[in-house]
Amino acid sequence: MAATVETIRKVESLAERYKYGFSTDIESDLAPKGLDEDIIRFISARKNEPEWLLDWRLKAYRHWLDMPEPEWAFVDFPPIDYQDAYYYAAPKTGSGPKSLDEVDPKLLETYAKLGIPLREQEVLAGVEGAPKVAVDAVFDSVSVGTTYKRQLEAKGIIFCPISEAVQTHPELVRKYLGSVVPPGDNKHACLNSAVFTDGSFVYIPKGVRCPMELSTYFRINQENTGQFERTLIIADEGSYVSYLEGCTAPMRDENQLHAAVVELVALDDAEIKYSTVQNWYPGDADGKGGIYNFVTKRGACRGRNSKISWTQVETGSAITWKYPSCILQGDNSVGEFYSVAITNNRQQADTGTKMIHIGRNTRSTIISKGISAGHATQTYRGLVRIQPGATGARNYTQCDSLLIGDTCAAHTVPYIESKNSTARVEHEATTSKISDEQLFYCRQRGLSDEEAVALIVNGFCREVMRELPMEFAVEATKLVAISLEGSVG
Amino acid sequence: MADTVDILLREFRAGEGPAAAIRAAARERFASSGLPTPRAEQWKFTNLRPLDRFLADAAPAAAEGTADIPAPLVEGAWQVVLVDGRVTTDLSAIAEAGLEIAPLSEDSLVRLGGTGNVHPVRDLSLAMATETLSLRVSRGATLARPVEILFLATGTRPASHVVMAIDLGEMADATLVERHVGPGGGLLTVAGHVRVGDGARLRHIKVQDAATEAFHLAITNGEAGRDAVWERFVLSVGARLARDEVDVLLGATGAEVRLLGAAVGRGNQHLDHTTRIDHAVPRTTSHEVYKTVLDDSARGVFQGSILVRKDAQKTSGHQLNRALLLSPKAEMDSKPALEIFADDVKCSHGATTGDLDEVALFYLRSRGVPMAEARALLVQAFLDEVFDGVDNQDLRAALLGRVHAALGRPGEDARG
Amino acid sequence: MLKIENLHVTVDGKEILKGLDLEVPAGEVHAIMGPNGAGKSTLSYALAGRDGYEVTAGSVTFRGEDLLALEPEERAARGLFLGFQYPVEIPGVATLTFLKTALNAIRKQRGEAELDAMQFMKLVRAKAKELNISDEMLKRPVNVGFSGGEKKRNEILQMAMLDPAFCVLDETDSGLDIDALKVVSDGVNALRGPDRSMLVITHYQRLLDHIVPDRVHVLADGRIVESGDKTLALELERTGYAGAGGERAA
Repeated sequence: MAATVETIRKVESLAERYKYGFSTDIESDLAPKGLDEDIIRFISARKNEPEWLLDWRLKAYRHWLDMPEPEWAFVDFPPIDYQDAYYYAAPKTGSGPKSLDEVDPKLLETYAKLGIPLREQEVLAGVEGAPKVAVDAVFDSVSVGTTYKRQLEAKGIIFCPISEAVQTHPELVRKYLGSVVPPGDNKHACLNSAVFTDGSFVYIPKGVRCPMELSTYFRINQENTGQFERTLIIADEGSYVSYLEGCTAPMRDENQLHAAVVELVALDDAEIKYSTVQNWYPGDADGKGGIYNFVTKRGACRGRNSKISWTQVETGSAITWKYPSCILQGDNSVGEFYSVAITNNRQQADTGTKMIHIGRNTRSTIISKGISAGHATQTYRGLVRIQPGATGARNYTQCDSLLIGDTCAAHTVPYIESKNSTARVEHEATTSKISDEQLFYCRQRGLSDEEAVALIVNGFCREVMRELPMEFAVEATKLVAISLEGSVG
Repeated sequence: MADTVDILLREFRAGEGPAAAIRAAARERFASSGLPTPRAEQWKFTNLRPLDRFLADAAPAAAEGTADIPAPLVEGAWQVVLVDGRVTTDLSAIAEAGLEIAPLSEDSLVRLGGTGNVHPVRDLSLAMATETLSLRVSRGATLARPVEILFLATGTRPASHVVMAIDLGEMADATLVERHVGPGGGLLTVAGHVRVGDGARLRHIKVQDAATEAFHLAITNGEAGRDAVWERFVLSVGARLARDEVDVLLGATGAEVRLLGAAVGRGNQHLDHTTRIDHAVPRTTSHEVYKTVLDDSARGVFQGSILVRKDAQKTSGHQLNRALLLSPKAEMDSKPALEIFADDVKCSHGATTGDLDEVALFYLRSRGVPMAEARALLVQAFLDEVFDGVDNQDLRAALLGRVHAALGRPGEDARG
Repeated sequence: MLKIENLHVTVDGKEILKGLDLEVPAGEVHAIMGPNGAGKSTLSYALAGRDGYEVTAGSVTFRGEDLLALEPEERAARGLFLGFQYPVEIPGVATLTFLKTALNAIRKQRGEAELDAMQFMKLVRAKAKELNISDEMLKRPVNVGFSGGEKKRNEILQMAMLDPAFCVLDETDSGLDIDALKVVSDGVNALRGPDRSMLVITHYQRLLDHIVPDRVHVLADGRIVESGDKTLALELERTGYAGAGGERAA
């Protein structure tokens, strides 16, 4: 038993090792604190938005006021004071940088420290021989720079901040914005629709295979700020894109709200692969501070033979409330969800996915691996719905939970609704702990306690890790080790 | 909804005494909550609105109904008959050492009224009880003959409500058959309480074969003692809408529960099996296998939650739920859930839905087996795992026969 | 090399080893035989330092050092290797990854340079070939879906890779057919040498036809009740354990 106790202790020291907890001292342009229609007008004016978008925001805001907070998740936190936050914070850099050379050196330094390359000749830190990655860096409420734009433009690919897309491609934004996640979908998405500040916009034209990974890196820096980014990715017929998202925040005692919306649209024969490594500040060992990560991510497989694949590695945030989903409308479309979630100390996570099968022969796969340690609580919540028209639909779900220590908890709550007799739905779930036997076996072969835990956990997560693009897999594997590594050594 | 509740509760007579107070409290709770709606998480998939309508015009005088009393399913079993929710058997004629069957005593009713979670069906049964029944097996007794409790619905009363308590003393051993039959429609609610004492073993077989106009709502709260074993088998084949709900507390070391269930629905039947198992202490075991076969426009529901409390180390909890949809219009909703607060546990659940294996069907037909028979064979193979839990071979054969009759001639009443 | 004196070990509050004495000099192979429940596996776990195997009295000296004061991984780094009776499955972790992690962890503890991927692959291929272990098997997760023979060969491969000074082989013959037994024994025999000792724990004499021991000890009721040369094993095979330490020893 001694080994287990030691392991727990080591695991619990994670919070002290959050290495992205620094803050950048940079002057910010802030909207007044609080939220009302004037703030929304302020944001809209700052972004020089057209009338229709302001109306859209205001409509969402008015709806939001009446919406109840979702209460079904197994997470517990005091009511959020929406008036005690800034809804717009932008580094003061004049009217937005024209090129990367004009970006404030302090910002470049910040991203360099985070291992995010904002210079085109650089690649993601620590990865040898990695292919090129185009990056859109979002700092608090605004995008501070996008790399490789010209190279992408040559192929007709649009990759820019969404605020810019509103100006340059209003027809695309207007057509797709809110078409997958309508403003009234849930309270957090509704708030986002009212106050979203920036995020990435991607359009891949017909038949184009995006030549590099696209990536957005989100950073919350300003105190008392919420981050409300909005990402919209459209893959036109026969196109392909792989998109990466990463996030960090300074260590602060207060809880900060991150309520993002991500919408994906895949048309006929298109494929979108969306990967996330979420490492928001999780709060300290006593549960003080940390990000509330209330995110709505949804993809619509509108076209025939289209495919959307979500892969996430979730190690951060005080509270995670997130269900990347797929609406499988097009015949033969495919939805995938691969997830590793690690919760430790006082972290809480309620995460999973929804696969809505509408078209014929639609297929979905769900692989979820949850690891819970310390006093953390983690829930897998998933829905597989087979609509009457989804003849020949298939789903396979596997969710496994691993518990480390006896003060954490793991829950599995899948909903399976089948309205078509030809559909096959399979669901398997297990909950177990790292066995003393496995730990002893590894230690007999010379591994330390913490090396053994990291090895076993990475093995447990393998089916998900191998779905990550190479650039991210290295980072994610390290993150798992760090999350479960102790203070010794 | 309020009107319905009023109609339902119109004939409520509290009386006096502590038991009356318990019943009055249940009535108060039910009057304020009413029947649950699909907005309640636990009732998401089973809508009691048809019941609402049925209750709203429940007033019409029911035709005087009659029905023959069938022989017990297991030959030689003691039989207690309830006609439309009232006992008609002379209970004093049941004479076996260690067995006592009687109306619930006031004390027992008070005790039961205070245990278990608040539940609308339980409240309704308690408040409106048309009959109460207590079955006790004394310490160390092994019953020589099974006991069959036969609920016969003839249709004289629109709604019957029964409170039933089964209590096995330490090291006792008994087999209980609970059977619901009869041509009468209307609503039956049953609030059951099962206590299996330390080291005791209860085999509990429930056959819900009510008329297709009937509504059946049952909640059973069970509790197993140290090293006790409760084996429960339920076959749901009757009723327009039925929910069989079991809530088990494993509160003593070594306690074990085995829940087996088969639902066979057709026409526009709605069959719901809901279970909740609470592993409250270390070293308890639960094992669940529920299978559902649906034809025509039938709808099936399975909800099964396994809770492992903080200190309940060395828990073993396994659950399997499979559904077979034989018709394009059949629907299945399944919600298995694990809630685990202890780390040294082995828990799993599995759920599948799908149709008959076409390759197997083709294989059988290519060997000369006609379509209907081939289907029946595959359905039986699908259900075997559950029916293997019925030890008595005659009973097993009778129940399987009933299943085949139900599926054999869709669209017409196969009983007869 | 290894000296055990008056070793008492308690498991779950029950005393299993009750004053065991044993000495294995460098270069020798000793066998421990005994009936089920005599404490054979308890001895191997206690030597390797498994949690829950509480040493209540006695001492174990390994190459002049107090073995009992060390953590399991430190014992491994000092050169103690335990071949498990039931090798443990580790889902998702490729055998190669496991071997490399273990080897480098031990090299690090010994203050040696870690092997890079090239050096490691060269080494592992050479060793694996001798044990008839395919590349495909090395890519599979540790022991997951391995046959009994594959698991034991995998144990011997790890032994060869980690280059231990003292090997405890716990019921290495269990679950092996005669062909597999031969492969495993050949692997073990190849590792015999003047600087390496072995303790072979077995219930059956059969294994000792293949791995011929220098000494044979009989373990019964938590103590060594009889010791002798390899002929003792043959005698036990004939007479059974009932008489061991009893009339003959008396």
